[in-house]
Amino acid sequence: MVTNASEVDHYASDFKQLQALNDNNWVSPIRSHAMETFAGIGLPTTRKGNEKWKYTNVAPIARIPFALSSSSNTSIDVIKSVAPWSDSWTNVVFVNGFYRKDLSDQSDEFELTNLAELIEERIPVENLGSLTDISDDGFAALNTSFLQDGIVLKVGKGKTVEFPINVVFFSDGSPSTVAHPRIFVKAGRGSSVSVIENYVGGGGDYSLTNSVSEILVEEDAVVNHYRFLSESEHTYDVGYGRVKLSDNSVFNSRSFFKGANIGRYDLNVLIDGEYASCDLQGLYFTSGDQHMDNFINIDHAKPYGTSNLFYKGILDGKSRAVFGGTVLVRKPAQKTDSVQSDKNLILSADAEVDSKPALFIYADDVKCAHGATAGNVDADTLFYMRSRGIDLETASRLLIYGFAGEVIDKVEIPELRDFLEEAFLTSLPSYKFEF
Amino acid sequence: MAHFATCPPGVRCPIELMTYFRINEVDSGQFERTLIIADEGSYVSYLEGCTAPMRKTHQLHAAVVELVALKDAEIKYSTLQNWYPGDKDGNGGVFNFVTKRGAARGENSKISWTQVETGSAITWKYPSVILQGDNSVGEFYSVALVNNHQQADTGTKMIHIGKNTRSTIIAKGISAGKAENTYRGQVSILPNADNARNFTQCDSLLIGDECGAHTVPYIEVRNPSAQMGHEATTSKVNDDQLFYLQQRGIDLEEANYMVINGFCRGIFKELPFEFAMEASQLLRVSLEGTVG
Amino acid sequence: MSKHNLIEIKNLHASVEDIEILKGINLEVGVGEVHAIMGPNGSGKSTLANVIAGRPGYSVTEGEIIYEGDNILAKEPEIRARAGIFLAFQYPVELPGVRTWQFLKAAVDAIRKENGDEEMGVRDFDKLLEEKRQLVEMDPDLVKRSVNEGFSGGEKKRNEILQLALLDPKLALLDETDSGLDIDALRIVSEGVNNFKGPQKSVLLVTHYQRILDYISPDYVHVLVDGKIVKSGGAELALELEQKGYEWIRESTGTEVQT
Repeated sequence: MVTNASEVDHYASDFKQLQALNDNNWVSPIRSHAMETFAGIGLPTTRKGNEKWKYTNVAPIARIPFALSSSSNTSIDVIKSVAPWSDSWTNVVFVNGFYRKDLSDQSDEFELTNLAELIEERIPVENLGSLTDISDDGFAALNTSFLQDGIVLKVGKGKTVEFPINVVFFSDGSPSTVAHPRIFVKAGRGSSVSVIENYVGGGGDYSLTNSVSEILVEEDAVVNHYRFLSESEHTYDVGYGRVKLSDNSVFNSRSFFKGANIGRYDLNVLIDGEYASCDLQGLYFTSGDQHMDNFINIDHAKPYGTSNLFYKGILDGKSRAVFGGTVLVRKPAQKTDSVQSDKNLILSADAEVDSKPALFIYADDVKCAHGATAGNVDADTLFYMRSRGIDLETASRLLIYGFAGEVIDKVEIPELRDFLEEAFLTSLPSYKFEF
Repeated sequence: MAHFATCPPGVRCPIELMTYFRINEVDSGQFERTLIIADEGSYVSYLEGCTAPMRKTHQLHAAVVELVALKDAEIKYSTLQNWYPGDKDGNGGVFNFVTKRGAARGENSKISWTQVETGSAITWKYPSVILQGDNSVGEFYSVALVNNHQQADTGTKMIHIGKNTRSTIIAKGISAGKAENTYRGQVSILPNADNARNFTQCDSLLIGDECGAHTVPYIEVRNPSAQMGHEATTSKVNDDQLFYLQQRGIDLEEANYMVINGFCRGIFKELPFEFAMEASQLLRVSLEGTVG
Repeated sequence: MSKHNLIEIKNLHASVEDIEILKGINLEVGVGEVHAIMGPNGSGKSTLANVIAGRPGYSVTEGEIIYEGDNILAKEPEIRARAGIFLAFQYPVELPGVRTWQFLKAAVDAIRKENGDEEMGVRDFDKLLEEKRQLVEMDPDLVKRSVNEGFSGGEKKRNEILQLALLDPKLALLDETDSGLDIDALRIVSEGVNNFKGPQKSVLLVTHYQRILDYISPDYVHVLVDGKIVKSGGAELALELEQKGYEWIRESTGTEVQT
């Protein structure tokens, strides 16, 4: 990949300053290695032959010399007004990528620390980075180069965490700044936990959030993962998630997108144990000139795995949504059962959807299927509703809500479901399907 | 080497035009071109069959086929490709890199590609239809069977430009031995293609645990009135079906052939009758030794 | 003319994709009457029901449909529905993600609004819905699910009859509502229609078979062949048709019948 020298230089000087702050720390060599890697590969701006970024142009992100952001004294009310929140949850707040102890809950049920503290105390985090292949991803390399703060969560063996852990990454929208949040979760054998990752805020000028999450799910453990992305129309948000499942473990993911100028979510679930399963669902609503790219991959490496991938998109304005979903079934992964689907409802003549649901199958005794649809509602559906006296606008609204509701309804945390319903239903457009 | 065929206005060509290709020379290549123009209101059906004798080294086939259908015209292009696939260890065989493009240029025009691909060491080909005329129709029906060390990467492109354009893609892939089979296809619905429709169905069967079957669709929709649907499945031959046939006294190899032939029937029926018979026979020969 | 007609269909011609299906239908349905339209497959029975309800894709090339004194051909389907025309679909449509409760309430409210009434309160609506649900013996769980999604054929038809009871129209068009039903479902569906019937209500029932007429007795029976009504009579005509088959119509009327 061709790299742009000035883009790398800019980050290199910020990098030197950061490294000087934590000399001889356990993170120093990790960062140095990542920066060297980044200098070699740069951001994925090359278009030709670039299958991973085929439909998403990151040149606008590469062009801006983003400076490292600093913390700010944002109040709790601002956070609560934009992110899901319940006092019964364990809430953890980061502003511009920095942990805000004063706004966050503590818990002795599980190990919950912020990365900056672990760096300060010189306590290395075992397995941090083990799921991230920085050699293949300029954004993940950049995140790792600036490893500074984030959340480290470890749930002990057999522990069932009753209430969700709600992690809010709020950006105050300082112009031309970047935050590199980092999440590391380890769910011990037989444990069960729900984690909500929120990316919210942003301002009237361009800023970048470049996150990396790694989730290790040990034998028999269950992780329910929610992701909510709703940032300003000037925010760029690149998220990189890596999950590894052991025997009999379960990973459920629900991803909701309604904000950011360019958004990208690259999620890869490695099924590395027998009888493990994952259920990945997503809802994206794009409007204006937003661009959202969901790049969702499931890697079946062991037998008897099941996976379900179910994404839905609603497109309005001049927006563009990209769905790249890949199910890979490796040779040892016999008896895999996998379903994948991406459905798109296009509301505007200027919107575009690009969907690429791929299957790569190397084991024979498997059942794999995928499907994709794009377009409007069909005429019969609309006539059925109208024949009951419902006008076009109401019928259209019910169908659009229903389309979104299929994903929102499956959220099992009541407060979060209510929040999402409100967040989506109030912003979905009033529209008339006509034929 | 080149062929040109034009079908004059209003003529329904009553017989199938048939060509037969063979590559004989060792270490040779063949680079033919074909252009078919169907004038207004005409119909033509064109068949091509391809074989090559066994050679220890590779041969190259790199052809270009271009089809143009004007107003109300229809072109049906069928291929039975059985170039030498190489031996069971992957020695020899034809590299089959073919460019096939169709322009459904006039209103109500139709271009239909049907292919049965059983041969060649490596096949790369994507017969495409550019649906320019309003109400034009594009079809792609394909069976691709690979065995031993063969690789096939084939599919289509349907580019919807005109209004009320429709395309149908039905692709059946069968992989056996150590072979790799990929369906790779693009469906693009451009901003002016109001009420465009596409339906795509890709099904893959795997025989044995050393082969691969891959499905890579690219779907690009830029018009809200479009309806496009893509479905794909991958599995092995259904054990219950095989058992049912065996229980009725049919041996496993024959049962396997019957099930796979049934899997491909929808495509074979798009071929002219004699060709369909030949395609079934080709399937039988290609499947020999894949079970048991 | 002593009788008061709810709907009058005059010389109706209708086409689908340029193929003429209805070739001059004349039919009057009086208030309080039950009419059955019978005919072989492809005769145009379903087309007639759908054209009355205003389904897009059908073009009326000639004739008119007068409903309560107005020609309704230019009216949108929802306007016709609010005026009291209800079509029970032959193939009820699935609405993924749209909850049945929400859908039914929107329909009830649309009609109330048309009549100048307020939207119905949630509690009142729940009560009404529960009452009607019990009437059609529909599984209470189905009301909580998406409209028709994953319903069996019989459940879908029951849902149609539930809507008939709930929306309480003036004219019920039943499009092959009996097809694909087992005896129990047929009984419940028929009871639903019989409950609906009354001096102020009219029913136009489209069917291929005489079977449903054992449960819902029609005042008039019309035989539709190749887009035209070729014979009309009382309930006895249906029985005669059942015994003698559509072939008999051809002989007695000189019409070609394709079966």
